Amino acid sequence: MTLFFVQSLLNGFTIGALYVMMALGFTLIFGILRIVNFAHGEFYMLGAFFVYMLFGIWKVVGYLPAVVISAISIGLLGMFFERIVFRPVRANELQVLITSFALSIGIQQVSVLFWGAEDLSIPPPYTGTLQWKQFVFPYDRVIVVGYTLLILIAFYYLLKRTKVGLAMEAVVQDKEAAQIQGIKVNHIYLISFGIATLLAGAAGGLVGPIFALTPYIGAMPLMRAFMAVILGGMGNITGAVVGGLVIGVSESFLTTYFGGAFAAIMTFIVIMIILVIKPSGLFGEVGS
Amino acid sequence: MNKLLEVSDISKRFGGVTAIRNLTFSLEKGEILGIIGPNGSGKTTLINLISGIYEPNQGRVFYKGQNITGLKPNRLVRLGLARTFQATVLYSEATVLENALRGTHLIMESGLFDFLFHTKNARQGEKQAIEKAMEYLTFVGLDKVLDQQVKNLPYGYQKFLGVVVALATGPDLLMLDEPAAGLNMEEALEIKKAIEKINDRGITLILVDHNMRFMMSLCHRMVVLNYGEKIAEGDPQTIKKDERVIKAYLGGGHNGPHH
Amino acid sequence: MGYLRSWKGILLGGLAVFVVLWPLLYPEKFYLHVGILLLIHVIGAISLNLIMRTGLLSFIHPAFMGIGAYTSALLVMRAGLPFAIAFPLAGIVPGIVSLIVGPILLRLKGVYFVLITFVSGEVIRLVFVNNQSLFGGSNGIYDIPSARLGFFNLSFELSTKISVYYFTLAVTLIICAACISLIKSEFGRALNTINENDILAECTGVNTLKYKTFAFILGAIMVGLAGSIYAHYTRYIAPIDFTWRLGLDFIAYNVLGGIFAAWGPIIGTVILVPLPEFLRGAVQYQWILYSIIIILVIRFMPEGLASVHYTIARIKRLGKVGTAQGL
Repeated sequence: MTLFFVQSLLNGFTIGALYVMMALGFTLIFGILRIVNFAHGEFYMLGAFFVYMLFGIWKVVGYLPAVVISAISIGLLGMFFERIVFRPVRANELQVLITSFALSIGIQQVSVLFWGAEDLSIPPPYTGTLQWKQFVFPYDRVIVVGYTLLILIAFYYLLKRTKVGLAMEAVVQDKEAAQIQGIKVNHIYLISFGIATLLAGAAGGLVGPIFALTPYIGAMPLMRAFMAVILGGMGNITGAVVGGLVIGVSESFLTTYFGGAFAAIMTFIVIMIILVIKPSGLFGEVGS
Repeated sequence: MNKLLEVSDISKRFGGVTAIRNLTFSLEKGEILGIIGPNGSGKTTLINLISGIYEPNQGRVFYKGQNITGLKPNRLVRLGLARTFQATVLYSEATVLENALRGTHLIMESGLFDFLFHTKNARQGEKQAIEKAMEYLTFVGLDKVLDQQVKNLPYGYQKFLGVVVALATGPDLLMLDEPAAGLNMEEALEIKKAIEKINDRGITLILVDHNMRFMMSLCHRMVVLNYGEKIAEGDPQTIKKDERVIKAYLGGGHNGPHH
Repeated sequence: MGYLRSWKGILLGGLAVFVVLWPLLYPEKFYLHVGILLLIHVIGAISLNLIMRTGLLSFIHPAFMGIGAYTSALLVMRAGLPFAIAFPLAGIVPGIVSLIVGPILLRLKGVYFVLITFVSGEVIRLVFVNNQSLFGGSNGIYDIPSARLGFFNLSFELSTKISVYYFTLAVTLIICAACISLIKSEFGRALNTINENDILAECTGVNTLKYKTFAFILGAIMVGLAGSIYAHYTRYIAPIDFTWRLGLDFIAYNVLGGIFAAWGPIIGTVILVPLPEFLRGAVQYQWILYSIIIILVIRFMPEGLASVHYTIARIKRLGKVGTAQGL
């Protein structure tokens, strides 16, 4: 295994981890609320900026606590938006699409107002590298992958073992039946949205220091989350995880060997082809 | 061999679930065929398959001798195949007349040029459409509520309107999905009379419902489904005595004739 | 109903006079500039309206405008064709592109359609960006000559803002008349039914794919023409002029004015376009304002401004708790 290959793989998993978290949140919102959250990328961006403020500017907490606080705040913010902005229009798909798009622009531009459009950066929380044989792994990327794994395990536990998680699955299966069983569907919607945005915020906080920081960084993870979810099937949890990793790793390899522009176009085209042939994704059901 | 409709060995799967399995039956012109079975037996899936909303995984459907398998619903409507929906599917903010006019789309359809310049062709189409819509609305007695918004109509009226919309497309074969569902005794009688009147006009009908009594009194012939398969076929008297049918209904528990 | 018609007639007549006399009432360059941009955006909005009526948000629309702009500019500058030929081709070329990609893209609905048109628009833009020799890459094409009407000796150059304004006005009026006529016909009604319930539409004989495709292609042709006007007016085009953000603008005009009202897109454009021109230098305020407007309008007046009577009726009905029917 050559150095390039392994480095690409690690980069791919790092990016893939980011995409997985974004895709999970995105697919959760769609699966449960049937909302396509165009603003999802902005929650990622805000997650990064909150960490920037807490850890980089005000320096009140360490990096990890900053990520946690940031993620939770973003989750709460998400719940706020669900309640105030999305719930009134939830019934109409066209209105939801337009609303979430407008929200995305609004959040983005307010952020430009606060922080400007220039590149900022979060001071790197971990320096140094991990050495194994002839391979060199930057610490921060390993950390990202590690934390993502932890978050995924926690998420899986939440979904399958807790009452809330089971209630969430019940709502996805059959909203009316869940209501009859006493599940407060509106609460589930609120919590699901909160969890999804929390994941996005966490992703932003974890990956933030690796890249430059501007209010426009939300667009790319959103696009990739879309793609991962299309690949894996809208509303499908496993699909989101697989989709995120596939996109991340393939993008990393394509970029290393063919360059960024080519990678972007290739990924677009493949996704478009998938959309046309099997719009429900690899794991999705072919319905009516 | 003058079968209006021939369903030949069709199957439909959704993921791991087989909703319809190797189903074969046919329909003569002028018949009222009933498709009956307990809830979940695949009746609605069957109508969706015949009306082009779903495509069968295998098998074929023939209409007037022509292979219509996989054709889109709008093609089938042009060929004379119309249907209603179980849940009332109408434009709720629009009025009764406006909804009925939706069924006359084919009458009003013309070229882009006609639409653009509101030509005599287009205007004639609109006039004919309104006439046709009025004709069918009067036929079922909805002409009194022309300007009412659909969402303000009682459920029974909405069901009738659904039938009008389908009739307005000028079908030779009309499929009604659960025509009696949600109706009280009086309304069910009304719709039974309407169905008979429609049949008298020469329109062949397929009725899909799970209400035994209602179906027995109307259908010339019946096909019984259970778990996606045909378990019996014949005239109502034969069906009533068929063991498998009785088992399917009794075995279904709460799926009695009253629901 | 009779007196309403005369009210509308007076309003329309007054509007027509105002619009025609605009350059004479406000001859300053700035106002003419806003007027021209407004007209171009009206074309963009109303051409998008056709496909929006089927419930689809098309983000490839600005890319079609770009194709029209580049087609027109290149045909005049490189192929030496007169504007009189380049202009219709600026509509036809995006029309052909939409004819090819339309039936593929239009098989998707809802968010999938939004996404794929978003991506397709970006891919088209990337084609412009990555082609230095033909399209000038990310720098675009500059020094585009003004439109020259007529042929060779008997020609008239649209070099002044006033002349461009009147030409654009003529084109806009024709396009608006065509769109409104279509919208009010069975074509428009069929489009509406596709949005409200496409399965029911299919089952009443509406060939949904065909109607969506027609709306898509007509929209592409019209916005391509707008692109040509834009190119020969601003005399400089670059890929950055045709991003999905322009698509959002067009959508915003439709939402504000009312997607399902005949005059909706026009009203929405008339309100939103002059706004940033008066808020010049504060671009982010423009976006924030747009997003707040969109969210509020969708929430409280989803029918848009043009259908304000629906909103008023709804408010009235809320006050009549206990009575059976509304209105």
